[in-house]
Amino acid sequence: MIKIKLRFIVVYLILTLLALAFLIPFIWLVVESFSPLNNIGFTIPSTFTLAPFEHVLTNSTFIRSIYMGLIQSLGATFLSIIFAVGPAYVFSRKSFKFKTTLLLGVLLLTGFPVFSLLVPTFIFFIDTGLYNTVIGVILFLGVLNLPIDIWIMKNSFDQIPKSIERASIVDGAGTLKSLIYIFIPLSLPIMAVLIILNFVINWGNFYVPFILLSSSHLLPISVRIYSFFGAFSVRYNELAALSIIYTIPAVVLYIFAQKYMIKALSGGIKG
Amino acid sequence: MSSVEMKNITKMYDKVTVLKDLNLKIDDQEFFVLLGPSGSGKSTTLNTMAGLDTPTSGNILFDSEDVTYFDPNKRGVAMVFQDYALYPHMNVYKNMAFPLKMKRYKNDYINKKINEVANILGIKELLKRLPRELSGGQAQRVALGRALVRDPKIFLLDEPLSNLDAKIRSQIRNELKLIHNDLKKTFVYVTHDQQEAMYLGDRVGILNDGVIQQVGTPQEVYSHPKNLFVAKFLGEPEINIFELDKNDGGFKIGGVPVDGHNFDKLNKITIGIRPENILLEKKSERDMPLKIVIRAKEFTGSGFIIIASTDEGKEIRIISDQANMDVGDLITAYIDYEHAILFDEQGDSINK
Ligand SMILES: Nc1ncnc2c1ncn2[C@@H]1O[C@H](COP(=O)(O)OP(=O)(O)OP(=O)(O)O)[C@@H](O)[C@H]1O
Ligand SMILES: [Mg+2]
Repeated sequence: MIKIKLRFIVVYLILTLLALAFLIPFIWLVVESFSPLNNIGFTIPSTFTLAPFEHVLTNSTFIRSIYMGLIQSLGATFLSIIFAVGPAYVFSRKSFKFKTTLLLGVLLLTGFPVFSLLVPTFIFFIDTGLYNTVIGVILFLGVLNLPIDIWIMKNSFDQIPKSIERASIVDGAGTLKSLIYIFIPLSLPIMAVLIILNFVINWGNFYVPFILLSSSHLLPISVRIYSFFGAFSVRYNELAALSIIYTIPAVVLYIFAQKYMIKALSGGIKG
Repeated sequence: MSSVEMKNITKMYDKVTVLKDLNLKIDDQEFFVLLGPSGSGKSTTLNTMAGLDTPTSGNILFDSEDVTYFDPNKRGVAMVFQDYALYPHMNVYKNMAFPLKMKRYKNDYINKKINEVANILGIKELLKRLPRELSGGQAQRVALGRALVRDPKIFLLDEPLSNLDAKIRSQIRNELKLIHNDLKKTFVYVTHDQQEAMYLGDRVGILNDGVIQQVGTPQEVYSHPKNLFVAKFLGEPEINIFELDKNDGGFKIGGVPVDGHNFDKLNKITIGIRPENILLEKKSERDMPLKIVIRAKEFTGSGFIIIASTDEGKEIRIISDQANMDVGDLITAYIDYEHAILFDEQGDSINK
């Protein structure tokens, strides 16, 4: 009896310590973001202040980087979702030569280190004038997520019963209308999850905009945060404030789509 | 006006031939039932009519117009599926409105039409419900409704009642018959249930292994089956089969010779006698006596099914109004030879 209790205590102690290890940086981040500039290091500040947020949110460079981050991640998200629908439908519903091979190719691409393509892309973008443009970043980020989007969406479409599709076709819907009225609405939970997944991945992507953009007014927040470290003296409290702002969209999206997430992860489409 | 003709339809999936040179003529306004066991190709036949499948070879004509390669929505057919196939994310109203929306009808018309059909089918109170909130019977009514609002030339129904319990099945079956009488449209109905087929069909086509075995009115196919398969597939309990070898230049059942004039060339025949054609009392001179031992009696409500065995140990079934004998009794029954059906060695029916 006592032995079991002891084991419990030890396990919980270890778990608590682990949790703390993960939490401490966040706590520090929050504390730091409300601290005056002179509070350096891991200490409780003498006063709390909103000044770092105020400074970050009134600084047009930072505002612009948030705006750029949103445009680039959302643009790329919708690009890949829209371009995934067609192939996902074809892979799910049509049979054609080399289908399995192609499908395996898509699956392989989901794990492919696409960053290795950044150098040739860089050169290609310079040649075609896409270098240092928002469109260029959106295109690359969009393509990056396309394979996994196709794969997940195909699996979602697979769960729609054949007879429902057949009913819609006999009822007069062509392929496109069947997609719009039947397939996409029935896959809405998965779509929501995909949108979040894509957005969070794009929002957090550092290398792609870092390499494909040069003008500072185009840099998204992910790159802008990094540029803090190049400054002569790092303003840690502002860095912390910007980092917190940086995490907000992902958190908001998760909360917003929680309902869909649970649905999507717990069993897909049912009649 | 909408007749359907299938000419030399062959359908192959990869190397498997599912329909073999199938020919069918379905008349305008006919209630045609396609009957066959599971895997015989009924759905495939229906799907090729609907345009959901394309035949490997052969042609499909609607009113002598070749529609073989028409898209489903160009054919003017409505279809009802075994699993209802209601759109799960739309309520009943929207489900029924869907085919009309696809045809760009005005909302006023759609509304009027849905109310009209909902009244006929008694689903008015369900219009706001989602498919998952419906019972099986209700869901199938809605699926029927979705077909009815369209006013199609041809109705295709793929085992629409097979997921329902007996009571609702017979109820909707009756309604279907009445709807067909009212609408005067062509119905093609697929089922594996022979009783349903006989009840509903103006004519029945029996399909086995992708080959049409026989087409005819329910009475024709029941009383004059073209082959053993049809004879055995129709009727409940199953037809009694006696396989006979030639003996002393003739055939005998229970020691009694079978009369017939053209047995000369045959070494084996099969006689099929429906359970209601084995009599407990002799009615005509040609009836053949058969000694049997009663094994069991089943009360069916309107009569009895008697299970008995012959001298040779063959089990037979008899349908009878009354059964005033006991299990174990040895009695003489009579084969109504008038209604016996003869088959040759290949299982094709032959004249007596
Ligand atoms: N898409 C397909 N690919 C390969 N074989 C198929 C396909 N569809 C049907 N078949 C085969 O064709 C045959 C006939 O199928 P079909 O669905 O038409 O039978 P059915 O008479 O409707 O049977 P059930 O009563 O079980 O619905 C079956 O052997 C089936 O395995
Ligand atoms: Mg079928």
